[in-house]
Amino acid sequence: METQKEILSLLDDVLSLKGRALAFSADTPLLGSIPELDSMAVVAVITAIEERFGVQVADDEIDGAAFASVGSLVEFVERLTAN
Amino acid sequence: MNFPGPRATPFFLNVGARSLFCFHYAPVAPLVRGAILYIHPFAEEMNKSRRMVAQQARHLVSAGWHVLQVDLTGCGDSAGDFGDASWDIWLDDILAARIWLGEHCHGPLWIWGLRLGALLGAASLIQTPSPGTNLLFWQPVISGSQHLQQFLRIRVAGERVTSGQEGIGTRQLLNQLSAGESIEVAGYQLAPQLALPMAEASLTLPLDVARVCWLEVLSRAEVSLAPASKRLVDSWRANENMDLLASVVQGPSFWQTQEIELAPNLLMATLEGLAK
Repeated sequence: METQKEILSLLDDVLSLKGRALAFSADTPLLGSIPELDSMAVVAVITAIEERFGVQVADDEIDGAAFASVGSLVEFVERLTAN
Repeated sequence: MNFPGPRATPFFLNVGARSLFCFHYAPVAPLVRGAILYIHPFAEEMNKSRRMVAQQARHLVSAGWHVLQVDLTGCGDSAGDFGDASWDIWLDDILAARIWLGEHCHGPLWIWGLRLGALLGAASLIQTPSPGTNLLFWQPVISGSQHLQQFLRIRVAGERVTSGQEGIGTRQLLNQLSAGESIEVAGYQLAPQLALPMAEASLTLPLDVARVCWLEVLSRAEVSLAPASKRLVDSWRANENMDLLASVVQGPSFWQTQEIELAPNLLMATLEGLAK
């Protein structure tokens, strides 16, 4: 499944967005724009990414920039899965 | 003929000086299928999944199963602080609950675990074997080490993402635990006696388990087992003496979603998995 579609499905699920995330595009801002995405939710999203994509996220790979937008989050996951 | 609703009896199970809050649902159907012991997940996952688990328990009881829910030491309504909990104490708690269930109910016994509860249930069965006890896993934790990292990350990621500052890292937190210090994460006091054995634990099956039912939930329409789950399940299929059912249904990840959610497809899949 295309990474962006997978990420939107994951965000919609973890943040309980009730389908809203499925309409997001790569440009859609995340951190700071979605009230549901607080620091606890960020951890839940990272956990879900680890489990859905079968990857491990190290401390130093986590930063705000990855969560700036849908596009940046997709890039983040694609980098992880490429390794 | 109208049957009354399932009876649910709360009680405290005393294990030495410890006191575990339990809920026993007794079936009223003429056919009693057996008994199920439910082991809850870790920390906040326990709270978020409470409603879904209660709904499943009611469905199971209506289908003829005894269900015993036990709050492990330091969790839920059981005695003790979370900071007093240890891996060994939790395994001991689970064993006490297994014994209680075996003494009060007839028929096949299943240990039903959600997330870390699944790993703990399997670990209990390895530590104290009981031929004929089956395992029902809901979204099982495969790696205790990864599960611990994900929990420690609550302290780490928050600062990194919101303030851009490095703050404390998981390696430092692990070092503190290894040095014998309890640490605080998200309001939970985590003792080394709980964290360090968790970090060593991985989902393992007892050699002689007869039936294993592995169920996962995924929010997207095209469901498939998580990659790590698939690898482990495939490795277990080599055991021809074991009846292994692994299935994924569509639904929300109710143990971690922002809002409390239910997964109706999982209710049916569980009843079907046990009914075989």
